[in-house]
Amino acid sequence: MNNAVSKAAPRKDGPGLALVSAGVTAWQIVLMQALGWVGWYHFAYLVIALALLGFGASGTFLTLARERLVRSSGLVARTAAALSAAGMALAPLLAGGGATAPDIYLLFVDARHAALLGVACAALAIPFFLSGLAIGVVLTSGAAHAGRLYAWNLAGSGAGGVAGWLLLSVLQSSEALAIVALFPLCGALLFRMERGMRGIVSGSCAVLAAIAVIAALVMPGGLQPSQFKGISRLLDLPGASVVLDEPNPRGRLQIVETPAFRPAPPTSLRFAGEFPVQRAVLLDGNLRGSLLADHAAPGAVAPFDDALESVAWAMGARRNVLLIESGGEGLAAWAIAKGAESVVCVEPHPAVARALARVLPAGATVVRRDPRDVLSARGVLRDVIRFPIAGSFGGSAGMHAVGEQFLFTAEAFAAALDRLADDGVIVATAWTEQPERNAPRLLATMIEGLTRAGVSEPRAHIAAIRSWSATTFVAKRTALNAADTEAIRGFCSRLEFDSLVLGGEIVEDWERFHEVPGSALTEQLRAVLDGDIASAEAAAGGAFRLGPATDDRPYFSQFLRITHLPRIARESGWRSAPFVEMGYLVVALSAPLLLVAALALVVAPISRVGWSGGSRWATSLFAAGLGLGFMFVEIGLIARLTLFLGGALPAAATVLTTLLLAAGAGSAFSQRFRAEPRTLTKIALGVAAVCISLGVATSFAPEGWSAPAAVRMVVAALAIVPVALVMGMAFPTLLRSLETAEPSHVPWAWAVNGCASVVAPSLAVLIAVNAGHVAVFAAAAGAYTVSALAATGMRSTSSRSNPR
Amino acid sequence: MAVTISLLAVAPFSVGAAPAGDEARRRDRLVSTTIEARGVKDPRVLKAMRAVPRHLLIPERYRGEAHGDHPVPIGHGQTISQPYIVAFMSEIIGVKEGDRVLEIGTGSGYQAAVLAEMGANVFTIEIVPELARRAAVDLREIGYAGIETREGDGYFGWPEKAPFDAIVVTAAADRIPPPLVEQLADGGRMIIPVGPPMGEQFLLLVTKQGERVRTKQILPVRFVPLTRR
Repeated sequence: MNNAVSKAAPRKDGPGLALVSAGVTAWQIVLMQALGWVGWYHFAYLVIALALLGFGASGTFLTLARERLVRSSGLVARTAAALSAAGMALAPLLAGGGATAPDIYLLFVDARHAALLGVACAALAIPFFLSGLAIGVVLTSGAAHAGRLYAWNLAGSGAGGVAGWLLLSVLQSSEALAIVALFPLCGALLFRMERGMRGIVSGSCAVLAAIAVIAALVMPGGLQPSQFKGISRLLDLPGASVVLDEPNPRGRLQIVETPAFRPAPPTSLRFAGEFPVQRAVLLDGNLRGSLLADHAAPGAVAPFDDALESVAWAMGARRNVLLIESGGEGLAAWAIAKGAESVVCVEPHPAVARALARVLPAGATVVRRDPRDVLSARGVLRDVIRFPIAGSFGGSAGMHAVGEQFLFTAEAFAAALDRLADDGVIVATAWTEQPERNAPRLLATMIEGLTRAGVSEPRAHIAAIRSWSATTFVAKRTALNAADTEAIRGFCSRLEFDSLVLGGEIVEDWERFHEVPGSALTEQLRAVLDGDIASAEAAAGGAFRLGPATDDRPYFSQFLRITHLPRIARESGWRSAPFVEMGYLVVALSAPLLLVAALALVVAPISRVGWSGGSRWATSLFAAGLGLGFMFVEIGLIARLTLFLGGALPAAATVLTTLLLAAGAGSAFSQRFRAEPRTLTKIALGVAAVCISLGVATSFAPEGWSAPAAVRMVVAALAIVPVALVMGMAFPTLLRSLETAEPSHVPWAWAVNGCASVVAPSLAVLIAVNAGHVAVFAAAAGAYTVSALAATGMRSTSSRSNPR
Repeated sequence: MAVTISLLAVAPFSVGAAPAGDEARRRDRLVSTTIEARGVKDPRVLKAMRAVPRHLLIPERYRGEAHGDHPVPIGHGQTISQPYIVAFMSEIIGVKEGDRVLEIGTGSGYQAAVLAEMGANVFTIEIVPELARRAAVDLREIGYAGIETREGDGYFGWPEKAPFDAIVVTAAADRIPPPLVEQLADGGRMIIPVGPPMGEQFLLLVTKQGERVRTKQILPVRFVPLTRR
């Protein structure tokens, strides 16, 4: 039968296969940004999981109906690819299009949105299922040309990653989604045409898909942001309008104008002037900063005179100022007015940097680089290094709890300390919340940074002051002297701020102007100053982690201990409890839900075919270990390379593309090995060893290296290739081994592997958040080790030939 | 202990109001079983809470929800506040008979009506024009014609009517507009929810004595968003 099928599957299907494969990768990348703008960043991991779920389900379907599908391979490939194109064009409108779109903020208060999320996930998984079916049926039916077809498949997947990135450079994500849908549509048209009724059916599907894609192209913009996103709330204000809307793969830039937008830094209540109207700067729908209409206008920068952060200027003259992700030009203009000779604003986002450069006053410049690179680079020593304000106002940073923040880590503060002039200061501020979390963690992180920089008595180098809304910390290379303390006291007294930490101790009358009855803030800070994080956490009831954030665990905004959620829920009601830290909870909940979906769609249907023979557990464990291990490495690399590549999306694009290409090459290379359990053990142990070294190696990503983004992506890709090559060898070798030793295990191996892959991204995020990135690579090594051990229990080809 | 100021127990269908006597009984029950039970003691506040016909300030389709201790949508993504929080803010602000009180964020007009019922001269500002117009009409119709309403940006306060003995801000803020502090009378008090429009907030009491302005965190609260309909 296979021979007959192969004849019917000419190698001409290669270009079509490449286009469908390209569409799949590009769609993942574009979808991540589109859904990030509509909702939240957490969708990035969900997109990967849904892609794997769709592909896993298509593999199961192909297994169950192999004969019939292969017999009609032309019809199936063409129809599935065309319908996949239609799905790619339309599904995002369902998932992110207003009334039908789920809103993560409403998941826990409105069952309708939980149902909508389920529908959206199903809708988004369908194009992946159809693409997977098209690819699978072409590869299966074209066995005689497998090598050539596989090469087209891999080339297409890799090119898709690049295409997705390029499309987001020139188009809004809603437009890019429609363009990407053209890939599988063109792929369908390139697949071999069949005659008769089959040709009519597949042709009709292609026409329908073309109509859907054209409709999405002509009418893009069906996506609508959540009503709770910054962009929605700003546009609700009177007279609001979007004056700039610029696509960018690192985040969509929007600038909104409204006469009612008057942001201000944490400012003294003594300030009697006017907070000026500003233009809001948003990235992916989230408020990033603000631009003054005219910083030279009288009083435009006056609020900074009375701002908490101005304490750094009260302590001495500031000629060289470094403002990290300042989000606007106001502070730069004020610093120049206060005598600064050089103000450097560090802004990693290219579009924001351009917008900022257009309005900066003379004497101020913008550097378009990752802040960590700038902090690590040798050069001018600074009198002030100002960090952006940590945490969302009022403590709702929970939505960002699982997003890497490499700027608020001990390593970042250590690097900043190294760039300070002798009398220079680091200024970092945390918004107030109840109970306090940002301030104690910020202090803990700064102290850890100072310790890593070689400071023996860090508490003597740090001071803290507070207003009704925020706490500002200053840190120096040298211990704060009497003049510093006097300047801080005078500043606080004049502007009615409270001194909180001076001379390494909590100030006695820290509530002189702003009372916080019942607050555990001072107990927390005292414990942190003493290096006793456990006591600091206990002072606030133990529900929140307050230890320092590090590059290995760069989750500054993740505080919640999930075991304490029931207590919080009892106190405040279940409906509001998730809002303490929504992002973390969404990921935690998605893992079991995805497992159920994968079991239902990928594993359960396979039970129809049954399996026989021994070592079923060995096969299952081996396949599961590979699925978990591969995805742990993938997610670990994305998280780890976010710092090196300056963002989650470039990291995801680089990692996805490279892993696909290199693992595919490894897969092809594996044909040279003998498919024996012993070989499998060696490969799995090899990958486990590489995982450990990968975890260690990525801890030493070069900082301060001034290279363009493209060069960095190439360097990262080259570093991934060897690992991915070896990883790509394991599964094909398993399949070849099973084909001869235990043929009935093959579909099960696919299903179990697919199921593990679906649930792995969520697990990887949970491991990273709780134990750090190195732990994710260690978990990958563990998974591969389990596979290696499982292989020792598998039957070899020879044992089947000579059954005992 | 945190207090939930919003729940999403909104009926998915239109619920008409009960007869006036029933509504009064429901209000009385709400005040007795929830507001008093949770510590609001000021008899003038309790009396005002019993007197103001909350259901008449709510869109008709949600009137069946009027006497639950949770907010109710009033359109434009806004809500009529949870009764307990309205009572708590009215008590903590210490309004006396004849005080001049400025409210920022009229919304449905409910908080303004409670303050007026306590004997205050109330001035209220709403930024969303449709809400401002509707509240003005509703307040007049239910007998609070003395409340002065205005459509505009609350940032600037109402300088022509200043100074105020008390200012009640009903929308969460990340800064306190200087004009509001300026328009506070000597010895005046301002209550303001602080924090993001969703997530955790706390109520802040601002007091002004001469040139000195002090703040005190009063109560942590958590916000649960409501579906925009």
